[in-house]
Amino acid sequence: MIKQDETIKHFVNLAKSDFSQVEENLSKIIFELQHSQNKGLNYIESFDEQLVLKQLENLRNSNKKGKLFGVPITVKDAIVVKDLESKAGSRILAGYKPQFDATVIKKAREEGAIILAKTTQDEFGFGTFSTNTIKVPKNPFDQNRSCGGSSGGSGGFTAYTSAYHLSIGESTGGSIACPASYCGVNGLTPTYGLVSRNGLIDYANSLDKIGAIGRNTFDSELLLNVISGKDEMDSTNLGINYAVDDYDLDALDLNELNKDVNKIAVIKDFYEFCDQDVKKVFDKQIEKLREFVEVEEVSLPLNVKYALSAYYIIATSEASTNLAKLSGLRYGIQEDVDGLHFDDYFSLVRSANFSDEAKRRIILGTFARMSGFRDAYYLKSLKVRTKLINEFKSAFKNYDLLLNPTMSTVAPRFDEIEKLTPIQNYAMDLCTVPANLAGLPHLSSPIGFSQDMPVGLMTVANHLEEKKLTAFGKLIEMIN
Amino acid sequence: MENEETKVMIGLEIHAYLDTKSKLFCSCPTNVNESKPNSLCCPVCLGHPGSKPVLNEKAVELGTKVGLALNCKINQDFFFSRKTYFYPDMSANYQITQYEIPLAGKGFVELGDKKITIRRAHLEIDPAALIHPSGMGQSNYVLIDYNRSGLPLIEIVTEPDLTTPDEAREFLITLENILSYLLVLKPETTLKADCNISINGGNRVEIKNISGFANAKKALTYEIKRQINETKLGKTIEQHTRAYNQETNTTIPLRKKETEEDYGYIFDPDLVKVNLTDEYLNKIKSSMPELPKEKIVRFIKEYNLSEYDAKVLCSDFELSNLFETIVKKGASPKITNQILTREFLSILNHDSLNFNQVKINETDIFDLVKLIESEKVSDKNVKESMINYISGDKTSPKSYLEKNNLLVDTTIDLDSIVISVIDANPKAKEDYKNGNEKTLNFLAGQIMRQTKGSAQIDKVLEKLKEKIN
Amino acid sequence: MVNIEITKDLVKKVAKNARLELTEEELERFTSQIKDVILDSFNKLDEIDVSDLEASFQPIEQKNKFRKDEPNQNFSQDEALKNVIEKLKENGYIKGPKAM
Ligand SMILES: [Mg+2]
Ligand SMILES: [Zn+2]
Repeated sequence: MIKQDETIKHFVNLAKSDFSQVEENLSKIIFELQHSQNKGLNYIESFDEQLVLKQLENLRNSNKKGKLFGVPITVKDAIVVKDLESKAGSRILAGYKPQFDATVIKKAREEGAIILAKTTQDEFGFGTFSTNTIKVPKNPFDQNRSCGGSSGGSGGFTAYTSAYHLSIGESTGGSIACPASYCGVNGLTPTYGLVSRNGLIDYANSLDKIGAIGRNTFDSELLLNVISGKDEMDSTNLGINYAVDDYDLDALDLNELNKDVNKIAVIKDFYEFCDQDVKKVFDKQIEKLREFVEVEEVSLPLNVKYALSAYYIIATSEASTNLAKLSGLRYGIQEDVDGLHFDDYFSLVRSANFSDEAKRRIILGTFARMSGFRDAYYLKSLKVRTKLINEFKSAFKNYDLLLNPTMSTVAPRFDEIEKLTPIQNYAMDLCTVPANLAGLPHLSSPIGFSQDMPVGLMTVANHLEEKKLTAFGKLIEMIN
Repeated sequence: MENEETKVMIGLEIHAYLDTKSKLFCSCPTNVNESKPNSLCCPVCLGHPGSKPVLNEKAVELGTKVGLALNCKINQDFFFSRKTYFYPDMSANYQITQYEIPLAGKGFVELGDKKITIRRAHLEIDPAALIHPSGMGQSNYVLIDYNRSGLPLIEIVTEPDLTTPDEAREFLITLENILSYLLVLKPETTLKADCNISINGGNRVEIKNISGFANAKKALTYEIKRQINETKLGKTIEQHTRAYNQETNTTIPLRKKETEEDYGYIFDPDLVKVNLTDEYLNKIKSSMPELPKEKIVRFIKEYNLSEYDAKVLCSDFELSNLFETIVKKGASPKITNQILTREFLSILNHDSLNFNQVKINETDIFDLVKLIESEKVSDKNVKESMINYISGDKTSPKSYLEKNNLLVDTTIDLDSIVISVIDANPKAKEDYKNGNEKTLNFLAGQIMRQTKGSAQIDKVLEKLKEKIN
Repeated sequence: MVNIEITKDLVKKVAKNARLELTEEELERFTSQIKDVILDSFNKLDEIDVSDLEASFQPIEQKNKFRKDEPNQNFSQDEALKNVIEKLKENGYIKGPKAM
């Protein structure tokens, strides 16, 4: 059950008439941020107090009181913020201070948000546990466990802080849902193209989606409302804004809210892949939901079999070209070039500064698009994507929403993660990858605990049907 | 030179700068020539992380016009790809270009009676400019200027239909002329060509990035000779890439086939497909300007020019426009054509100048044509005034003629001069009557001297004959 | 069906193409890992027939996103060089490695 005073909307309403609320909340969150840093929880990649205080002063003197007035926002490191070191969790971008704000940052600032800090992540988003980087975030529920990835710092810090706060995450194959699930927060990934990618340091451009992480669906959807919409700087942007309706939590009519959600289905294939204890929590939630909506089962045999393969081919193919630009010139790590042939200089900088996982994915992606293999891997994977989207589309003819546990397990311990081979590691994304490959909007909602660790439920909607998702997310929150 | 049975196949890949105000995928200005290094860039063309490309609609329009002018099939659905290769001039280490489906497919260019097949024409970005501070090969590093990075290029690829370096040069000139009629070329830029060449069905050697038509011819001539010599020595020509060194007029190997890049083309996922509607295409088709071929036909018909003269005038867009402007002001097409194609072009040829290197004012030529029409100037003085106009102090032909008293003085009574000269030379008169034609020239020379050369020579001769008989 | 043997030589060649110089240890490790991923995952796509389908370049296909040909704000020279280290600046140019 969410209470009105837990929501960002409540805070913004207070802040608009009483600026001390903004100051208090900001001091609180800066204190917690620094505290988490001192404890080595590693949620924060970069933080510049001067830049934050400057924003506070600007707000104090501003007449415009926007939808996120005074709300501190953390941002996944891959999303560029002007003058704040942004390196997508990679050493090769150390020192890079972007000279422009990502469109989402611009939009958030226009609504009065305070851009607080960059959050830790797997290098370039390459990972499920935020362990493929130098600063590895630790799960607030158990420091021996992962926050999930790749937006791990965002998930971890959202769970950790007690202040009013929102986080902008990014998902390529599940990087918002996964940390939301592992950290027990709300993660909303929109339809591909709903939110501008301008200013996002690309992982895989045809898969990357910027989204919202918050305490609850009300907060996440408010952030989505602000950051979505038309942007001329991103050719793949759909030019559509996600609208929010006003609400009064005390008088919320759940049936009215969910009037468009009539029939939903659990994706059997993904469900079966999950651990017993995760299933138990999930089953309990489904039983509760049956009071409000008809729940059936559906099978997506092609997705369960082929989505991971197609996803990893597309993602690594695109990533390997994106990372070509990172070669030690113009920004980030740079060395003396005198006397070095360009092949040697580029190899030197790249070999010394990419992590193992980046190297593996660059090699896989370069391989998949090389002449001789390109037809069988890269081009075929794009056609397979069409087939897998079609499979989802036929399921949406019968169901408004599709459900599965977000992750097959609760957050694993770091010593367990170390033992995973790359192929086992990639398989951990089974439940989140298909919806991401298809560019479908999805929401991860916390639904309970197993072994004292949070469990998440993932809801998937058809393209641009975010409204059904958020209505359903609110239902879950109000009945729990 | 190459022996008779050497079969040469030359294919060209020509890069031309399109005349847009902003770059192909970002809104940086394109006035690179008058700008400081690295002062016309942005996150997109510098390859800064997070930046995204957005396609310039004007470049598509200009590219479509090029395709149509080259008789190509326009692919109404096309897209852009990433061609990945590492080089210090590529800000992203991939070039945004077109691979599977180019904007324009198969077409042709007529070269006399021969048709040179155009394989394709596509849009792509230009890399940055590199400076080798101590010369190519000697420098320890390069200096990079990203102003050029991202400029819109159209790449035009021919089939290997060209058979001699001269033909390749002629093709380039013809192509440039067509492009100038279209008004799609960025002013003050030259075409750059990659030349692919093979002899006797052997492997193809690519000579990269040659600027200028004369250089293309020289590089190809050298390369054919080199390949013939290699073959004579029993060596096989391997497929590889070379560079042309202008100073030594030779080609040098750049890299071997084994180390050639595997471009690993992928669709550029930051961009979306382009669909040119029928309506759009029809609109462009109807806005196509007159092309050289059409203009030649019209000039013959409208101005009663010979085919040869019309072709000469239309082989240069500016020249054909100059001709037409002068004629439209009321000058005789015949005389205007004579001034431009005979006098003017022969001076240019003599001084190895290009048309665009000289300043020609339409009024200056018009005034001159008018003087000729009213018979106030001799051929000799027309030539003299034009030489001065182009290579001398550049005063207009009319003022030059006036200043130097070279105009026919209508107050001079030519008849009485002729009579007085005949009377003063009775022997010459007799000799001519007895059949010695040469004495007529002697008498004419006397008359010309007295008129300070302003008289028309044929007129003088005519009058002499008339008075003697 | 792609018949491909993933050898150390192939991995080395692909890495070189991507300008990565691998140590012997990395080469050893990556070769077996990459082999697993390609054989167990990538090659799965052999089983599925997609001959009648169009490729999805993006999950939601869009067309004709253009920008008007209008020059807009761009970086000054100082701004273009702002993230460049001192050693790699020379008279307004950016120094790069040898290109011949
Ligand atoms: Mg090209
Ligand atoms: Zn630019």
